[in-house]
Amino acid sequence: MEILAIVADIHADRETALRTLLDRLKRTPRKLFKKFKTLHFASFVIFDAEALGRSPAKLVFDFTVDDGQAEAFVAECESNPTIQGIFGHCVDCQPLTGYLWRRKRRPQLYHIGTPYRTAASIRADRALRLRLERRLFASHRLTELLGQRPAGMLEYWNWEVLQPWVALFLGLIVVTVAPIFFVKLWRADYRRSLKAILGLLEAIVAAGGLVGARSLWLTAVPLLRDRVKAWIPWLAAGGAVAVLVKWFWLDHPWWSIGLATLFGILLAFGVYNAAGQRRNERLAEIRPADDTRAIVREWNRLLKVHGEGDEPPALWRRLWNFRWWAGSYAVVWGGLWLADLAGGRPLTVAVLSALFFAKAVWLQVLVGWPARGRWLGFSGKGAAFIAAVTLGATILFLALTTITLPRYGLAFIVLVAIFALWGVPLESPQGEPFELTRRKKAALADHEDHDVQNHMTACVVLKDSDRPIRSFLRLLVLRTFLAINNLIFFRAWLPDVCKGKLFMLPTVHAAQWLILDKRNYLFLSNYDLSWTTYLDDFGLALGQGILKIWGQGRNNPGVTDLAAFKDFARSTMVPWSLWYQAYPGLTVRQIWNNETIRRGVVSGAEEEAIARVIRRFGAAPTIPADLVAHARVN
Amino acid sequence: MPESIEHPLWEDMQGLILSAYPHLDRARYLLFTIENAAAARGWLARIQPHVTNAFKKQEPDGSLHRDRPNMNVNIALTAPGLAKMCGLTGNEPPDGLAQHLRGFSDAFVEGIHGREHRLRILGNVGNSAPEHWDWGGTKPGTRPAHLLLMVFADGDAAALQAAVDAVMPPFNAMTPVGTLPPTLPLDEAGGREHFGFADGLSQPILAGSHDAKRFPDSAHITALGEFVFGYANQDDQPASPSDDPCERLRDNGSYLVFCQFEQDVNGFWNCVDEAAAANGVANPHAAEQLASKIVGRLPDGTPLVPYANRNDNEFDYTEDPYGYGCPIGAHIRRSNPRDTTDPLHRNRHRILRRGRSYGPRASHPREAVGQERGLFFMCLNTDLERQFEFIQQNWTNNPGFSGLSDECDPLIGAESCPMGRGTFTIQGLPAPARLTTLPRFIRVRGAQYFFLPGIQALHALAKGECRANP
Repeated sequence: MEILAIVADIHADRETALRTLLDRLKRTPRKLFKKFKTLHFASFVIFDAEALGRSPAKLVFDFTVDDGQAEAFVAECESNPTIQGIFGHCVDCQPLTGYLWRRKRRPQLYHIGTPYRTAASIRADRALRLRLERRLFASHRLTELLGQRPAGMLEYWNWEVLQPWVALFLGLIVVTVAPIFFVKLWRADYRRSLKAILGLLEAIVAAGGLVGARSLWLTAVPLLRDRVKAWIPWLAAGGAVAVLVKWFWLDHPWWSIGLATLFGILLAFGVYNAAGQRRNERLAEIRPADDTRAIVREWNRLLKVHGEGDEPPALWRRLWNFRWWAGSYAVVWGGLWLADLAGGRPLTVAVLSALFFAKAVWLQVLVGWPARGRWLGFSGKGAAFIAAVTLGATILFLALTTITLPRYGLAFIVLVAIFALWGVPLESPQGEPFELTRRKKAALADHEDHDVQNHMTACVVLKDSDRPIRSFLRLLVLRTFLAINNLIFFRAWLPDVCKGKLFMLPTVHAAQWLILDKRNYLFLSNYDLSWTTYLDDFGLALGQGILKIWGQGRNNPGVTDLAAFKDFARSTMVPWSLWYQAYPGLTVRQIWNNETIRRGVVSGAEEEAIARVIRRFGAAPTIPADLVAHARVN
Repeated sequence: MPESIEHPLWEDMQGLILSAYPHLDRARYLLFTIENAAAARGWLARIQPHVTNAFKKQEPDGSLHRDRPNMNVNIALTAPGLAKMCGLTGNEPPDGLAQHLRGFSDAFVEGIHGREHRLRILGNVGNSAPEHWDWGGTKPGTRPAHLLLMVFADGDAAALQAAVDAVMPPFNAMTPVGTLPPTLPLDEAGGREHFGFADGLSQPILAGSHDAKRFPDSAHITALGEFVFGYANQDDQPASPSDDPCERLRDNGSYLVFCQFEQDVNGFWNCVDEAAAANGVANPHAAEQLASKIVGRLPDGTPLVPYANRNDNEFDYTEDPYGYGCPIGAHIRRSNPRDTTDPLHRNRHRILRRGRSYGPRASHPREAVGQERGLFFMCLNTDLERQFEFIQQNWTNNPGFSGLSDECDPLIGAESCPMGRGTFTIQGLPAPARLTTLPRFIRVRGAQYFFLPGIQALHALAKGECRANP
């Protein structure tokens, strides 16, 4: 899917007429857009002089179309009489040919929840599902299900299962490696001060590891955690055996190798047996007692109805998306390598420390520092943060100049430190009070919740936009942040690894951040379920990330008080004038679910896989007790 | 100023916050329009001693002394009612009201019927729309509801009548808004609502309460600020950061959602019987099992998840991820998805339910009684939009709830759900099954948002001061 916006200035005296026209069209958006087969979502929004802070008012036409279809779609729009009529209210719109395409604006950051999908295939998948459903639900099996009790949780091999293991091993590594390091450090021939610094660093890393392991453990699915618990004595015993082997047969590696091999064979045998047993249990679970072949029979009935849909692009094309990701790494690593070659170690660490420091300051600017007052009039907490970062950079510098580590080790430490810095919870900036009338809230709400899909249109005013130098700097920071995120994360990671799940929240069909001018930036989003849920999900799951973008907005109160943040977001919103959805009623989750059903039906499968596909007719799957389980797509 | 969470000011809260008064069998709910504010204030001052607070005396040995009077009285006001007590006319438009009732939320000021969007998300449409309500709505000829008087008493009908007479306002002060049907005495109800299912089983536990000390590991312990103004809420945000005396009027109070739901008991069981009969094998328990699937519990209250018994409220849905036991769209799973939602931010959408049934109880659920039956639904919360309305919109009436498509709560939401098709999917093996064209089994006969003030706030209101006492 491709996402674009067309921004046009409205004639000063034709704004009212345009509103009247859009009001009339608003009731029947399908009539206007139905013939555009590649279109997913489209909307017209008028941002008036009041919202923008200056004349003229602007008409924003934002749309999402199939991959590679944007230009063709715009050309088709230009020849459509109704759309010609709409843009007829704009400045210099004659002739319309080429007018729209010239006024297109690419978003600085955009997200697509169903990458590589075409509108036609999404609709076809739903049609297929409905056809299959009719067959599936036509038979009388209600009473069979009534007395059924769940057999318990089926096995998953994904993050849920891995999480307690990862937590356990992370904890084990910290507990075993940290003391070894301390002992080595204690015996090492370093200066006392250096030992203290390194010891402190190590303690921080170890504490971080333990905290991380603990939180992973606590948020794991309890049932799966219990399974891991059962292994802890075995692991402890294995560890003890290993220590003993090392202790007594240090000079006789043949024995230890022999023991390890034996242990390995036993383990492999055990795993093989356990897997086989597990599989038999699973089959027993999906087969009703009276008819072992019911699932296969069900499947054969369904196979008579099937459809076709789009395939994800070839591997090379998906890999191509990672060019920015790879490129950015190449820049960092290459720079380090060159610095090391050119000037020896001190230059390397100087570069690293500078990088670390710059990142910290940048983060500060992103979340809105300085929140108010003069550039140097930062708050006590801001000063403490800067001081801590300076200290951290100095410690890093000292540690790296004295310790003997390969340069990749150094680079790794710095990268980890930079990522760790990203997670520092910074205080929300203090916002000035903003105006949000009851009437505005009502006007916005009236547009919402007519369907499971909703549309959000907001115009955020950049902080300090009335001060040229500061607004220039802030805009630069925002642009850089959005662009880096867009290229490195949203374009590479999200579509191909996360399959469109934005931080595991599959509720956004398409969203874009667009910097309109020096004062305003727009947020346009097509999302699922209610606005409150949408903002709650994101406010709770990635408050700091949100803060980095919304935090650039004037009067933003931060996300610490979610209710205040929601009011602020409401205050920036402008009701849309016309909105079209190509497949109303479908959530992102259902689109994925329908696709999986289609694939399952087309491919044919063995008994377990059949059971999984048929289960999807009951509900799109979800795994409870996960961090954001309610929104999970498998 | 309310004290810290360790020492909530129970004595300044109305008793309904802490208890549904299970020891008082009978209750009468009376709605009034305030005609003469001065007379109403006089009445309020006079009955102050009768208003029950939530304080429980502690014995010297540390045990709780349950002071169980045989009569309890609680009072709640709508936004216009509150305005009227504060000397306004009560007919102001919402903008005007909002200006005077500072600190009160838009939802409360606008009222449950105030906006088309709210009606839509709450499912108050069709024949449940406010133009058909007997009270609280926009039906021509109905008086506005200003004050809700709740009288609870032990003993027989005469005892209840005596209790009501003792606190009845004089006619020059307030006139009744219709007559709400009498509630079903608890001993007759036997802990079940009219469809025949145990009700009111899962409640949040107030942090700082005695129950929270008894069950310190419960997943249901919820910050007091979610239900009482003036305390930190589940987000650790103090609900009342203001020193504005007008806003402080909320302290130790709570919003009370009061709805009258008529239950179509015969319709429900006919529908279930037909569906069970149309689906093949003669199974004498099929109808009851099907009804249980709709509710998510057996009639005695046992949840349909593995390893849970009827007294267990600490169960969650980890063990039943696919809904093979308790269907994903079942009533209890929709109205409280427990661990299915974000476990780190659990209990952000809880309500304290205090409802009672009304209308006669038949000896058998399928028996027709020829009289209206239903439930006075009452719930307490401090953020109507994040709690009561959220549950209704995002869980009960959400067609895409938890991966489902195009269906709403089969018990209370179906058909009214603007996008649903009256369907209910029952997950199971080898394949799911589906009920279609379910009608809606409840009908809203009246509803409104009330405010249940703290005791001090009631004192202030009785004096005509629209502000908290210094």
